[in-house]
Amino acid sequence: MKNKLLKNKDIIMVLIVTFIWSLFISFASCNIYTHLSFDSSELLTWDYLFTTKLFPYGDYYYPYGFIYYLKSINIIFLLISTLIIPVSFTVIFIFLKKLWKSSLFSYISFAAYILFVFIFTGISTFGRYGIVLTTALSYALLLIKNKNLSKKAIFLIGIVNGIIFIFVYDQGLYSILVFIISLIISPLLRSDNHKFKKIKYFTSLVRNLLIFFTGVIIALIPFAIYLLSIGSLAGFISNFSTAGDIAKYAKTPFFHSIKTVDNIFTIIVMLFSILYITATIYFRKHKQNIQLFSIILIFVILLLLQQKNIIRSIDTQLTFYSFFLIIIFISQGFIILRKYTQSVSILVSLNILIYLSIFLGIGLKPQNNINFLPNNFSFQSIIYNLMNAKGESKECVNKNIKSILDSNKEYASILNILKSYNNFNGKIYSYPGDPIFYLLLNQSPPYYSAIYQASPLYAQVKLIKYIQDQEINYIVYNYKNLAIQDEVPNYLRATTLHSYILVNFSPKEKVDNYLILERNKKNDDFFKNKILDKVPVFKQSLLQVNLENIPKSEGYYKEKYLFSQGNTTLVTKDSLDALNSYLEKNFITTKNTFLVIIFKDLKQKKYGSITLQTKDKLTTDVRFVSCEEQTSCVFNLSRIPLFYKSRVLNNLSSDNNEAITNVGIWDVTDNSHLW
Amino acid sequence: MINRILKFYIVLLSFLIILNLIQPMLLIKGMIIISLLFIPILFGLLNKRLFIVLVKSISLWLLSIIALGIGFRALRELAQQPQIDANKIVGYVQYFGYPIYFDSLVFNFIFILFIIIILVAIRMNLSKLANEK
Repeated sequence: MKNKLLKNKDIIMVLIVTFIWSLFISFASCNIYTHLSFDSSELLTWDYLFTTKLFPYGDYYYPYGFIYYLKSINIIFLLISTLIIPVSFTVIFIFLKKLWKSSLFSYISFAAYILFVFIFTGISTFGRYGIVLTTALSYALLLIKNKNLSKKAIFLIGIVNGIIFIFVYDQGLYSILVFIISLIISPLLRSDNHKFKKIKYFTSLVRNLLIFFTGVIIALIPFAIYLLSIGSLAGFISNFSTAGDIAKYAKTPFFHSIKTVDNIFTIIVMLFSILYITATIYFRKHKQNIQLFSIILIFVILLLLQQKNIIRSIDTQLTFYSFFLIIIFISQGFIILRKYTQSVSILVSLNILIYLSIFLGIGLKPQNNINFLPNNFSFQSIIYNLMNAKGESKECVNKNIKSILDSNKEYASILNILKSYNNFNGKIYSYPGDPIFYLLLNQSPPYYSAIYQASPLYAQVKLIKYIQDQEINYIVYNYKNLAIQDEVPNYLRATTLHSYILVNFSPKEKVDNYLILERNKKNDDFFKNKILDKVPVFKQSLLQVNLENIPKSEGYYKEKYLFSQGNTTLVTKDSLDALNSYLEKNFITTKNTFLVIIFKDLKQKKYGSITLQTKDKLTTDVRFVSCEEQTSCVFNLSRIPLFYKSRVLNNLSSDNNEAITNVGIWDVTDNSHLW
Repeated sequence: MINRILKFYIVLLSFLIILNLIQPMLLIKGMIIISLLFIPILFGLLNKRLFIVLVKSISLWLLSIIALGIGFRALRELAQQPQIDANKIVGYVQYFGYPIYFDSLVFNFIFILFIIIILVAIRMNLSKLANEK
């Protein structure tokens, strides 16, 4: 036993040193957000929510898994989360020792790897994304050492994967997938083609998968019971089942952003991996080696993570996988080089210089704040937090609130004004999403703290219910924030919610970038409020609407739904003049009203526009991408801000009157398919 | 011979790194990247036949990528445009009419194409490569 410990003293040393480092970070880290961006607001809100009696998934939206919540309420989980980083680094170190078969080179590459993570990835990102690298390397080490894993070992791996899923569920899913792939490829790489027994392979694979998933499910049972006890089980399942919606509202073009150095670095390394894997599988007699196996697994992880990167850029979070692959390639290169040179000094110098070149030469983006220890690190805070059996989350939130109030005087002004109102019950709703107000008012925020995550209709309905249930009389409307993300106007991203707000609330006061909206006492009209004249750009943004591709796609895909039972054509004409004559004589309201226009010869013009005027002399312009020739352009008037409130149509005009071949107004009662 | 090349390479790389530390410049960074690329080239030269196969594969793949790049917009126009679903989600893709899974298809195709090209190139040169080995 003693000999074994002595033999592995470097491994033990790595575990102890990284554990102490991780302990410092966990117990003495308080991230002070200097600038309240969308991301930092969300992170700070979650930090705040963890200190309340509210539960993730049950009471508020939280996409990262339970460990970050549990570690803030229980010291055992804080210690478990503290273990993630040391365990990851230790597994990496063990792997590097196995890879290099030389202590000196494994130390150099391990030091280089720690530095890379520290400078380019950030320790908190590594603490999350590094989990699946750690599990992949563990699988590689296990499956290379034991050709056939015992049932007990597979069952235990299942349990571990179940626990990872509970704690950080996306990493848990990747880890499960990587283990399944390990089980599939391990016998294939090991086998001799002539002796390969397909039936034995498949029966063994199915049996192993069954044992593995039994382990996963058993690990999930206590978690399900816990979720049930805190009332978050339904929320967790619903959150998981609607995760696909994130891609629908978060997707942005990938190839526009592929030009970053981080992306190019990762893609080149992936291509090199393909070359290596293909050539090795073709030409090597002994394919079951730790290098090939780990390269395949890390390549699979990168491919999985790239699918996420294609939806929404996470390029800087992927480079530490690529760098690890480079270390494996270098180790392979050095095996060849050793045949030609025995000089250790040349090989060591070359090794160090290659790492330095990657660090300094290729232009990867370093982290903004590179600190070995947290900014406000002190031993007293560690001792204090250990004595109080918790991390310093509450104190940290308070420090942030103080810092935000000091640097943003308008928040205090808004709070003072709100408190001066008789109707103010201590609660507001922040639109489109400045959750800092909930923290300042010590208020339980809505399930979704910003409209970005609330893009789906069911989420908007939940927010409206929150405003109603909390009897909120005031809305703090950030009128400068016209598109919370991706240039999509807020009034289109969350139309149902926006419509509810503009119909039921009216501007009362303008403070800095915010309008304070008060619940209407009578049938007030948002667009006739005088305060709107103080914010002309905002008013213009609501009256000059850009629907971009929506009328075109609605016409292309959904024209057929106009003919559903219950929907009726109110009028159809072959020109706008004819329609205007009809409108003069008839009373057509905009409630449930769809405008359907067919154009001809619009190929030259990328955009079209129409102007709609109401009987009360309000006007709105609508811009849209030109529709296909002789295909309907479909406009749901109720989703245009001016028509959130039902108005009477008076006149329509277009910049392309002569191109209109047909224009119709529909009364649509069944709007389940149409936007 | 290899020892000499490596010593020269170490001196060159050290010089470039020091130069980059003193005065970070795009030109120096470019030279460092080229120097780094020299390493796989060196290994490739140790097995010339395999190296030629790889160069051919990579060239063919790059040509395919350029062709794909030129036709990217046209292909994107052909791809099915997104529609607003029952959950009424309006994000970037629905608003600007960007085909949601098009990027994923193209990206994965680029990798699959690379694998196919390498496999075909190796297959076609299998006997020569075996002799070289």
